[in-house]
Amino acid sequence: MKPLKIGRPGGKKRKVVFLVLCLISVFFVFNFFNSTANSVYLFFSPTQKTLSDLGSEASFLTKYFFQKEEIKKEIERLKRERNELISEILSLKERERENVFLREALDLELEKEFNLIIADVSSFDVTGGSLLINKGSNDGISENMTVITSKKVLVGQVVEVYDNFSRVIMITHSQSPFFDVLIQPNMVQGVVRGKNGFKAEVDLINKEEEIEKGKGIVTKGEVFPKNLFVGLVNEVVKTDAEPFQKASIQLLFDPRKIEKVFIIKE
Amino acid sequence: MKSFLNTSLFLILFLFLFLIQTSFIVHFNISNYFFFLIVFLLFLVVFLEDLIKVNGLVIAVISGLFCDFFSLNSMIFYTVIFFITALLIKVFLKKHVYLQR
Repeated sequence: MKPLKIGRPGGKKRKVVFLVLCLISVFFVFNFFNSTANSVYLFFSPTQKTLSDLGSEASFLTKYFFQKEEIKKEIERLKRERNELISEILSLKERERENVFLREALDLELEKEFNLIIADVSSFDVTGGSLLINKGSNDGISENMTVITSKKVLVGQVVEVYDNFSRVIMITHSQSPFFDVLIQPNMVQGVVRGKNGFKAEVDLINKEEEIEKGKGIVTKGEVFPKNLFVGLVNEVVKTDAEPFQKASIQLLFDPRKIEKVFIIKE
Repeated sequence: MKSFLNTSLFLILFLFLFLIQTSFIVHFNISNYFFFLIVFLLFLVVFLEDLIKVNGLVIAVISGLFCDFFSLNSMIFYTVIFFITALLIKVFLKKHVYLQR
């Protein structure tokens, strides 16, 4: 058998010189005409993009096999980051709500009229007649302070004060103090008392006075500061058997959804 | 003529392989190392150029150019490296390797 020699014997010198010349030419061509490279990129980029996308997706499999531990650590890190971000988002949303609340108060210029402390509602009692706020004696809260919403609507009164929390009895609670109110527009006098179940009524209204549904009720300024909104006249009850007429109150805040309140310090 | 045809076909093949190398295989790196398919096939082609009737040096130069197009190195970096490598392999084969049919 005849041995086969790999590689061609001799006669290559010219080819090599030719190739070297080609290389030098190419070097000059590409250094002076970058547009050629640009054309090549332009021509191949769609194919490369497709292949790259495909490779990027398919590479997950190899990564999974060869970098399992790293991927697990990465997933853990990402989970931690996600939780931190969720917490940050919640915090920002909370601040946004607080800002809206404060803006409403600023629009009414409450801060000029009263010395206010803002507080979050922490919880309600089982009957829903009182609520716990996150400000207490450490924040300058004391008993009998008036609690209002950002829209100057009367919520209730502070009845118990702890170091960092206070309990507020809402005007709808049956044990809430009675207080005098005036019904607009004729400023008819009456007394508000809580009826439980998020309801309250104005009692002791002079029978002679005409009151209409939908008219506003404001505080007279004895137990609570003057001119705080209490609600609207809902239904007027006038019977011959009773010496006075009554009116149920349509509250201007939802006791179940209240989140932030202002406490009037003075 | 056959050598020219085969070389041209291999160049087209290398072009596709190059595209696969630069856009697909790069995603399969393991600890920042990846399989350089072009080099592997280039060695193979140069080793077997007599059997498959191609011009290994031409393929080396053109493959080098492909790589240079898409690399940050100076224009003829890969071209020169591939060319010298192919040349060395051929010299080595010429001097030391014989195959029996």
